[in-house]
Amino acid sequence: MNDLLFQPYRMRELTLPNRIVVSPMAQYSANADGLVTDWHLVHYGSLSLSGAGLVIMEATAVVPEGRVSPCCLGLWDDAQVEGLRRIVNFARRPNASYMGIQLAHAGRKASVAQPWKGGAALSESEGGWKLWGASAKPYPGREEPICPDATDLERITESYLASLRRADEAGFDLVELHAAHGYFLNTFLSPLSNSRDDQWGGDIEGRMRYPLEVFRRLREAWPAEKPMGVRISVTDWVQGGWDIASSVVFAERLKVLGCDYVAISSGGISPDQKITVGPAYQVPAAAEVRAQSGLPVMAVGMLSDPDVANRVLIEEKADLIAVGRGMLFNPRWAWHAGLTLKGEMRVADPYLRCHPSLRNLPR
Amino acid sequence: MSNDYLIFSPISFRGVTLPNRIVLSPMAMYIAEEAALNDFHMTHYGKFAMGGVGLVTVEQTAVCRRGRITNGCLGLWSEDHLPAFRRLTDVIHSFGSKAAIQINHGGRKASAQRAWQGNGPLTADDIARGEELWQPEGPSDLPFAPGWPVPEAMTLDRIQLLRREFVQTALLAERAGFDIIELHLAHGYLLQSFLTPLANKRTDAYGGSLENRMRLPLEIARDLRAALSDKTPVFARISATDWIDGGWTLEDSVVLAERLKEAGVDLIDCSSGGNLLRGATNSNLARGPLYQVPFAETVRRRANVPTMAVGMIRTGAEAEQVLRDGKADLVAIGRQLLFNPSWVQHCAQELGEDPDFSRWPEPYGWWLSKWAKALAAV
Repeated sequence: MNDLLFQPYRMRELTLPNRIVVSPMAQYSANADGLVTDWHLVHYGSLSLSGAGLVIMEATAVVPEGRVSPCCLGLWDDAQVEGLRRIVNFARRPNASYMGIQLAHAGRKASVAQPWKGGAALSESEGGWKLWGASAKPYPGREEPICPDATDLERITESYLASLRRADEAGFDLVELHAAHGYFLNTFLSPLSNSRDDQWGGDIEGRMRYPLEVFRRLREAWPAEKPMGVRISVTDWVQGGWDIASSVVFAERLKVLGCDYVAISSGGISPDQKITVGPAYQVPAAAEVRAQSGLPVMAVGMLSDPDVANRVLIEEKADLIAVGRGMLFNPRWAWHAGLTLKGEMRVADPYLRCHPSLRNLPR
Repeated sequence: MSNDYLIFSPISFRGVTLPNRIVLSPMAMYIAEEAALNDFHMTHYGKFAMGGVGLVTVEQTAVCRRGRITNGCLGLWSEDHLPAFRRLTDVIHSFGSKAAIQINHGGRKASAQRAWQGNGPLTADDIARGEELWQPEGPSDLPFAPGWPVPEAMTLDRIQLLRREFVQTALLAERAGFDIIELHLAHGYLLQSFLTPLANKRTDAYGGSLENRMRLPLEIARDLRAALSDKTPVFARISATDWIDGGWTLEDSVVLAERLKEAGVDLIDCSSGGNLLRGATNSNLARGPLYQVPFAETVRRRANVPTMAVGMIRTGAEAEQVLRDGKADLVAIGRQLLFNPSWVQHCAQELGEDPDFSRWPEPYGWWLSKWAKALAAV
């Protein structure tokens, strides 16, 4: 099919009308209690009318110390459900997107200022907090994180579960577990950040143990009809770090646990990473994980050209395409892609008047 | 560098300075329930402010229940309506844009279908679906077109009440935080149907001569001017021509614009049409790019009043040229913005005016500037 990007895609009982996903992107615009603001309503409301099949909301913290910044969203408290439910309800209209949410813990990279304010580490006196990591190994330049013991880990897992329950209450159609970009779960996976000598460290089995345990328990708790995926950093881009081969193993294990897709991002564990960025630069790794693990993959990263995105699908390198900055730049990206690829444009009724094929309808 | 482009230069009307000259043209969304503003409107209008539009004009909003065009139209005639509009203007202002609202009475075109349901009179199917039918009102008991409801001709008492309704809505809008009030005198709705001889067959002081047909719109313009703060500009959207022989003409519009200016109206927003048999406005005209700009130009030059140009203005370069040629003071963009809510920001980039994404709100700008650097390095 020439317009594969615009063909439906099914995961469990969720049939996405097309393969276009709005990638989760932190907005750093929550209030001090981790609550959504009108920024989120406008931002996600608009994106839900973008024509994408699925919008995944930004990294949302399962505990307060799991926020990247004091302005990140949270789901550690029941009071945080209502604002998110309002956004999900907004998207319950014809031709709007399905809504997913990314559950996250920022680990040893938490407690920083908004990036446009410099992104510097915040001390506790500046409104920051103590960091957590798989081991007491700091991200270079940051404070040493607290290394969780078994009790801590159980508490954190339960926080993930409580947040998951709230995500279900808010009505989300899909959950994505954030295990990428150097955040908490990623610090377990990577040998660069995990020097534990207990059951949660050491060889790849040990390092995968906690993230897989979290996924397993979340999957068991999440309604069987709703899909759940995991975002991973497919490589640390550092010699001796986590790599594509490790990701294949991880994906195989996730598949057994009922994971519906892995989103293939990369990097974030070390400032020593050597990345060659360019259009579709993470797609080769996505294709490899897909081919070797048999798990569906979501490609992400510099995929804002619809022809490139469509070709990734046609060449069977990925199953879904996540578009991030392309959507920020053009909030009707999927309409415009539909014109390019002659795919079906999903347009909410009030916007039909601007549909190129309908310009002669009465306004 | 930004001052090199007129479209990106600020402009002031009374106490209000617009950050740039691009205006979101008022476009009905037909998605209110019981006239109430909802999250769709919040998202919809908020997004254009996020997109850098200088003035976000909220769609035609009814001054009374009967004045809604459709069951999906907004209303602002009660204190109960106020908090939602307040929240909306707060969102618009938070992105640095100014907020306007177009206040309207649908007249004999009220009680109609939402645009995407046909834009005609309500049918039995519509009513079965839950749409409410009501009898519209107009200057005369002349229906808009065959098959449309016959409007109730407004009595003099009703006309006086209508004046108070417009004032009430304008004052509520001002309290809700709107910076500018736009009076809707176009597109075949109530006040335009007083203007045009095609709809107004009255024999009293509100019908007959041009002077009489202009009486009610001018009274309301003066009422608004008297009631609102001196710092609040009043704009008026007109149909510069009916496009119909024997109808309202551009010559009439020049006279009306002069009189509106005397009444304290600050800008004439020059659209056209609305009395053709099919469609709410001009959709069956042979429209082309910039087709209404000559109206803005003529009114501006001959009535010596600021104007806004609207209608099939597609690119930043076109908009800039309209201003540079002195044809209008503001440019309203409608469907192009629906199709691309980042239209203003994209124009700025295309014109080389915003290389570093400084016109974007911070949560977008920082992502995009990193992205642009990465792409540039490829």
